Amino acid sequence: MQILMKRKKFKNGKFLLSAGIFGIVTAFAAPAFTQSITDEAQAIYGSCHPSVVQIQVIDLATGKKTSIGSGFQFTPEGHIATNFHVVAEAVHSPQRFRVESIRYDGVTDPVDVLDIDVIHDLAVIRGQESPSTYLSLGHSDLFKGTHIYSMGNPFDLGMSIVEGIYNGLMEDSLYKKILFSGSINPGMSGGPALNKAREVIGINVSTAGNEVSFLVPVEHLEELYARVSTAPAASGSSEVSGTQWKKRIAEQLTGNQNQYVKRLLDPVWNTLEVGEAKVPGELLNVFKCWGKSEDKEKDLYNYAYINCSTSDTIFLSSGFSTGNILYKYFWLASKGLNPIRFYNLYENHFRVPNSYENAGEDDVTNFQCDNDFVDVGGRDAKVLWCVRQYKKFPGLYDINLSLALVDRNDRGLLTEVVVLGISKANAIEFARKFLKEIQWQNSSLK
Amino acid sequence: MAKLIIEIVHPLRFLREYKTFEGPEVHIGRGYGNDLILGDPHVSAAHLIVRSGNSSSGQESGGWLVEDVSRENGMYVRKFSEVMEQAPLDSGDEIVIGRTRLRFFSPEHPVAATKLLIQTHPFFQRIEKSVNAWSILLVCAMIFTAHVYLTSLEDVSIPKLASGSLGFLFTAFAWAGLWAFVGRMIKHKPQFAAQLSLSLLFIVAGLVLTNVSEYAGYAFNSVIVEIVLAAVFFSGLGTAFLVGNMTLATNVSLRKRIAVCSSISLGIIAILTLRYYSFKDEFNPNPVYFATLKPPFARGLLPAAIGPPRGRNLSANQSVDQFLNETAGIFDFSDKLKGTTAK
Repeated sequence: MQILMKRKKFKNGKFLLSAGIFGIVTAFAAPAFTQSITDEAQAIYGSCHPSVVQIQVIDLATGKKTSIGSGFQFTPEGHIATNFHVVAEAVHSPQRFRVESIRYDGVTDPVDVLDIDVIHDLAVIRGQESPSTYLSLGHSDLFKGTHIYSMGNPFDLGMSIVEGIYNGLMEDSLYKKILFSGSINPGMSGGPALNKAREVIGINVSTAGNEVSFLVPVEHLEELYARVSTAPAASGSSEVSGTQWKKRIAEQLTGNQNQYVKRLLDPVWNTLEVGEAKVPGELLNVFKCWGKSEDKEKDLYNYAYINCSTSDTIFLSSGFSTGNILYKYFWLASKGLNPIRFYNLYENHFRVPNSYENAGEDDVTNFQCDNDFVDVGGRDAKVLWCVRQYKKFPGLYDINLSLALVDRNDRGLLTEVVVLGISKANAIEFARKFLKEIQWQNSSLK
Repeated sequence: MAKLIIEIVHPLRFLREYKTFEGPEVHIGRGYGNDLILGDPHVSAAHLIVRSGNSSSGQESGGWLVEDVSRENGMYVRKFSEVMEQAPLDSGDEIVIGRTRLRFFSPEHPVAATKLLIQTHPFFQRIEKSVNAWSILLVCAMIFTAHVYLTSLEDVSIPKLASGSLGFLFTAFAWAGLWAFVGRMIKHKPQFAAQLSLSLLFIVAGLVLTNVSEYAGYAFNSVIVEIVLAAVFFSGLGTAFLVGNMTLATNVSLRKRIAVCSSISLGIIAILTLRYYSFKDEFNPNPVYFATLKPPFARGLLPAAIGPPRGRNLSANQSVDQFLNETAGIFDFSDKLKGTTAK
């Protein structure tokens, strides 16, 4: 449970593959480094560790911790920064959980959550006692290759410092994150990443394993802190109820999807070619498309597919995440199957929807679907349109738009568009633009 | 004395025996000197004497007078509901002595009309003929092979296709065997060939009707059409098939056959409907949608066959804008959320 809580799963296959190769390289190279990095890290640890705390979420029913993370003091008033996912349970059900921080000297201090940023996975909390030390915030724009140091309490084993390399901001992400080549492990979430000047440049957030880790740029913490200090009423120092937090999360999600859908709809989309179809390609540079085609001797058909998706997942609670967009194209052409046989095959591929693992029964309703034959780019297509609502955030939906070209006996295109956490108006506009962008190369065939 | 027929009825009314008597008197008892000797230990050695006499209704002929001559265990007369020493009897009357029931009949006693044996329909006689049964088997095997061919996705050799159709044949054989056994037990006639032909025809009809309902559902773009058609087809087909099985294997009357078989088919549909409704609101993380796809000709086929349905042109597509406007209703979850907020 704790491990899952702390480690966000990274689904991108390429990442895991390349990380595997690096893993082998570092295994041989590591002994050469150890001697040279010891002193720097030791000095930084010595001066900074009093400002880094462990965060625990305590289940009130059992009095025991249900999850752990790290955090750090960054103001003289005792504001502590951590990840939203560390304190998420206490935010969702404040009546069942409380949060406390444990300082380097073992002093336990109950803390209140002041404000959260679910999009960037940040939370600002504050304890009762004023700290003796705190870390100052720096800037995240360093040169690639700079040594940086991440601190935290991995697996509740004790406060640690990890040296790694700053590798710039991830270009292909809606929410820019720092790529950190160093090992961040569960329990270190929310801890600071520091430069040699002992300034915070980022906050530990997730890992893809094998020294591929991610940091939230410190600028997002500054924005959140600015909100905390200017609008203290919205995030009162005393208890904020679960409903108010729910409203706050809903606002942030709604605002965020408005912003990115606008970014998606405004530009002219580039196109990809799949079979006879010209379809929307990488809408923004945050989308990555992967493709493959197959033409086996034995099979009486050949196919080509392209899957495009973003890698940005917004954590909401354990088992509930949102924010992804993906679309898949599947072009199928017959090599001698008669129409009935071809359509059996075609239907089998159309029958299986994207599998939704981002939410559970407490979070979303069942899908509601409708379908019809639609003129898409001048050709006949059967279009399925399914929507489910977020129970806790009723203005937001997960959508599934599926399409099958049905005007040919021996070839067809299947398309599936999945957007998680989008408003009704945005969903309809996105679907409209998407369907209208699909065009055909050999329209003369009709 | 006119001819007298005495029926001996078992107390549980299943063991019957008839004895015919002629003569002025009939002696009944356990002793060997009687005309009718009874094995009942509660009957006296000489218990009754039946004499021809006037009936209670005053008619000259057809009546008897019974007299209990033993006076030991008495004689219960059912007609008068009492134990009597002497009683006038008509044809059809019943008395009890000891534990034996006796009924008295005259030869003129009316009997119920003859029950006719159930006639098998000529259709069943025809499919029982081995030449027809073999032909049906062959044709159906070919249809199953064609079905396997149409659902296969690879280049498959004919023997492989034929072996793919064995599943259907085996099902038909097993079902026919079951009913042949029932027929053997009830009618002493298995009629396996007829049962097999019937099962094969049923499976073929099922395959055809499944396709009809799928194509119709696709052309009308309505899952309701597909499900309703499938339900109607299968209840009808299932009933007809079971009636056929029962006709061949049992002697049950047609009305009862139809009642039993249709209630079995409708019961299955009712159970499926109930299941659907009880699991409808279970959480399903994935969309359940109407994904049937058929070749382009399917959309032209049905309107051509039955004419375009009112208010809807099946071959015309909606524009993207029309589609998105008309389907906006799927965003309405007001009925779904009520339950959760009430919790």
